[in-house]
Amino acid sequence: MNLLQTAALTLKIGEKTILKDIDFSITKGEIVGLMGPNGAGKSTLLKALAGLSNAHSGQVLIDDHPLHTLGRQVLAQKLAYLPQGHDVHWSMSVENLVMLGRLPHLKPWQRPSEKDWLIVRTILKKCDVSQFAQRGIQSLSGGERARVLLARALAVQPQILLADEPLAGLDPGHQLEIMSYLQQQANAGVAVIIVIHDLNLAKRFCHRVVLLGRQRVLDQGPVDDVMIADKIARCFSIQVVTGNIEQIPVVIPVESLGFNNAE
Amino acid sequence: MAKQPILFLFLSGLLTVCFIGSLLVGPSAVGWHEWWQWLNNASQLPVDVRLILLEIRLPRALLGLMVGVTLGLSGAALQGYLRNPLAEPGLIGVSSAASLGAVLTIYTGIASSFALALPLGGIAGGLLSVVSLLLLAGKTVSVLRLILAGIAITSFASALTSLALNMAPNPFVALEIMFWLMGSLADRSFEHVSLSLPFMVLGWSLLLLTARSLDALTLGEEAAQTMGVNLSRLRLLTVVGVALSVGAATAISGTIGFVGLIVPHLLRRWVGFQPGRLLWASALGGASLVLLADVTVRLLSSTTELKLGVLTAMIGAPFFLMLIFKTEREVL
Repeated sequence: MNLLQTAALTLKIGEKTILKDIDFSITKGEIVGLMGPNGAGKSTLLKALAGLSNAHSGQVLIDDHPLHTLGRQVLAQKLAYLPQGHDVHWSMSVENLVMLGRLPHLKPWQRPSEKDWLIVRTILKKCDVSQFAQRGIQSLSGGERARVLLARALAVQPQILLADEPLAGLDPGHQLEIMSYLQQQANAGVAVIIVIHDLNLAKRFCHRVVLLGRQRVLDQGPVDDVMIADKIARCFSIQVVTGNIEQIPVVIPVESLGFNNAE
Repeated sequence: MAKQPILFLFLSGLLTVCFIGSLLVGPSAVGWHEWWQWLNNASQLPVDVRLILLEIRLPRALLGLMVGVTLGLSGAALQGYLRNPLAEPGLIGVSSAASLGAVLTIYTGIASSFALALPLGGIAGGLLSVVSLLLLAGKTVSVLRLILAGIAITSFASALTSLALNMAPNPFVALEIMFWLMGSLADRSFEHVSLSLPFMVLGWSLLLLTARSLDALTLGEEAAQTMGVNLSRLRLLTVVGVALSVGAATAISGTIGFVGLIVPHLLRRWVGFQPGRLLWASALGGASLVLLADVTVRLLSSTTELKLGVLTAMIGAPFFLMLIFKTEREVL
């Protein structure tokens, strides 16, 4: 059964159409990569899936229920959204910040239980941030903050995780670790939708890929069917070389085809 | 985590000391001894002493407490909601509007016709400003629009207050308005307490309901929304909560500046930068600061009473400058 699904979803910002007739779905345990050039509407789509903006037409279904019919609290327990950027307004300690992820599960006056702290501590360790659990978030570097904020989203223990460029600003080592952690989450049954620019990591870790461009879905499907040279060329206007090195898939951009040559 | 109970005990202790101090200090030589007598056998106390204790000192201390809680709590709530350490309770225009309401009762002479006319006028002004604020800021959740509407209300109300001063029928009225605007807790009675308490308690309750949402808002509006925060409800709670409590406080005491700005800032570090926890800490801290300032005012005053608002502004202004420079350094 599809955990999350869109039906002929059209999104507008003001009068401008951003995306038209988007049909896509994700089931338990899948990692779906949203890819496309800058301005293709990846973040807009992700926000609509998170219930942050209303569809101009069409709808978003979660567990076959229209998104707007779900209560805030119910939705907040099912779905975690990690926005782009690393803005945090007060210099809260890392562990308290990650604990915010448990808020959707707490009643208004309920304090976090020992179980909540256990969840938070496990996630802090997984995201490799437990060594600065007590430090203020604003004293951390960009990459460290990115990991803390991902930890916050994971602390929700959501069924669906929407992450807008969670790898931005991370060093290669931590990019790999975060991706393999997301993979573990997917193996545990979480549906993960991420906006991702790294072609190699997308090809290696995503199960399916959605290529967005020119206000629509250009291609979508299993990663091996979609991330092939001509489809990538059509989406990004680049020429790529694909192959395997020691059984690891690689996609190497070789040359820009110029943005005017795009279809 | 472990720091919280200690901070709570410290602030409660401080507040108790300040409250007792406020009961003991005054121009007449009435203090410990008389309170002790009153506790043991009230009927033996001379009537005038009892009057001083129960009709002058006690309401003044209670009002100091209430006004302080209001300023601390609403300052913390607004700073959390706007995610800006420079926000203060006067920002959304309620203080100016409540002042205007009170000033108009002095200007028209209604204030001298019955005792509660002035605070009632203040509360009416405060309530009017909430309605206009909600109308002006519309249904959008835009923070910028809320601040702009607040500025508009503040300048309009201040202009009308100046007009009332300008058109004052005689210098005495002008002087009375001027003195009232400076902010004070002197010569207030239990009637003032019972008039303002319901508004304040209602306002405090609304503000305390925002705690969790303010915590979530640390991650920005979008993340907070996906964590179950209803932004329009949060805005309504904050605006109406601040308006009711600050409107009532201003109506009673006049404008007492800087408490709502300084107290949350001083305490933020000690609650681990958690906007939700800062609410109760600021409430206790605000009450202590106002009571302390009010005791200081009484100690320093000789023939002319030093006004409470003047004192807080004199301490507050340099602190405000310090805050600006510090914030600048943190941003850079």
